[in-house]
Amino acid sequence: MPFTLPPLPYAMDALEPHMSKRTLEFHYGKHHQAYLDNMNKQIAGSELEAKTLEGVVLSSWNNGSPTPVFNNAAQVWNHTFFWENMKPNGGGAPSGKLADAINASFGSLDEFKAQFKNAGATQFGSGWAWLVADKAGKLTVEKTPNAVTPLVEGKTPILTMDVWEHAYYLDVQNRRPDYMNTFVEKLIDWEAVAKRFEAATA
Amino acid sequence: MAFQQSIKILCCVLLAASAAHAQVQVKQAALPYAGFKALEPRIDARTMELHYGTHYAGYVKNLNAGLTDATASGLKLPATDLTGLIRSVKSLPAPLNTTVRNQGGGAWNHGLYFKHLAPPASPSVQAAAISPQLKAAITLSFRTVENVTAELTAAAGKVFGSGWAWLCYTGNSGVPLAITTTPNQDNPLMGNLPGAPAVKHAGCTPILGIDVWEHAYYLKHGPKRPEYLADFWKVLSWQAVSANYAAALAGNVAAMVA
Repeated sequence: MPFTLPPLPYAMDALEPHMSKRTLEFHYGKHHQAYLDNMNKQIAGSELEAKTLEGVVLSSWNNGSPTPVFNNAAQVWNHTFFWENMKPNGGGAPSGKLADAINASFGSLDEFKAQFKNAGATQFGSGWAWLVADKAGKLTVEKTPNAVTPLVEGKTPILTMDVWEHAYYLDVQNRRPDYMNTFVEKLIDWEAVAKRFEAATA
Repeated sequence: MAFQQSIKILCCVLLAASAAHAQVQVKQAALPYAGFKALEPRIDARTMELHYGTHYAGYVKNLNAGLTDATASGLKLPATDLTGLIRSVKSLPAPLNTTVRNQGGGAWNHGLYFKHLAPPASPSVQAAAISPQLKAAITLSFRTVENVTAELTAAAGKVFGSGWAWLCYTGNSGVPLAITTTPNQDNPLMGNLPGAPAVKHAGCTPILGIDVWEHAYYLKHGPKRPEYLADFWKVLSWQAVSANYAAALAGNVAAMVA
């Protein structure tokens, strides 16, 4: 059975003015869709079709010598994860156990934001910034190039930010720092992140 | 007398000190055509303005800042020009090695790129503008111009993430030209870099470069890289590529990006 894309959790224009409808039309409708279509073509008729998406990602990572399937499978996974951690009227601050964990791991929410944005700023070329949780609730910021995801290191991401140019070029052109500020202040769905934190530390 | 001698010695020491800390600073190459609109309708003016005026300018600015920091801390640079620095990137200490790789690579690559484009109506974008020397090299290496452009287009299409596709001079008289790709702002002149995947034909000299970072095409084409590549061939100056080939043969690589 070929994989399908889950629908976007909100309308294409729902993240305006922070992330434009045009960006989502391309980013979800073309980039994410193309990764899915290409992955399906690559795995058709193979035993990968019977795995979960995560299984395909881990299998195609092939212990650090990724097969051609990896780039597509990981990008399918990464983008679904990305849409789910944004919402209209997002931003604000986390609360409860997640807020406590952020303070414990970073000192403050502001310090977390600074480190997260620094990760996004210093990922040269294409890639992703991540917030990762371990079972004990310790949080760390990571960055990965291209399609790479903390999943392949056996880690549990709870938040991600796409810093491929296609994520922001139509809206703010080269100004990645502006995009990252907007993402952090206006787009993060902290409740979704909190749910993932719960699951990671259960 | 002693006082005057002391002054002379002091002046010599100061001059020597300033020479030792002489700034190596790189400049953007000037556009060889009349402004950002010159490549319309193939490459839009807004992309040119951002790509040249912000991305390329930014690489040069950041490289120069890194070079200033390095020389201020007493480092003796192994080269005083951009090409020399790119070639010696592996021998540089941190953090200058990363600055030269990313920002210096960006500066070199974009110098080559912008200098070998031309307005679509210019005769230099026609195949007839290929020099006999370059034509012979293409024949030896790819048989036809159609073959080399098709293969370069395919290579450029396959680059995942940010990077470049290159037509390079190999130095091998039997097969003088080859195609390779590099990620981010890496460049074949850097050789194989530690921790990076091996580069085919590492060490070869680029004479033609296709930028496939999304900033090169996203405003006009969105995700459609093949459409951008079709546009690219309509503004690629074979006259400039021919000059680059001659420069590579003559060992004057720095001229390609200045």
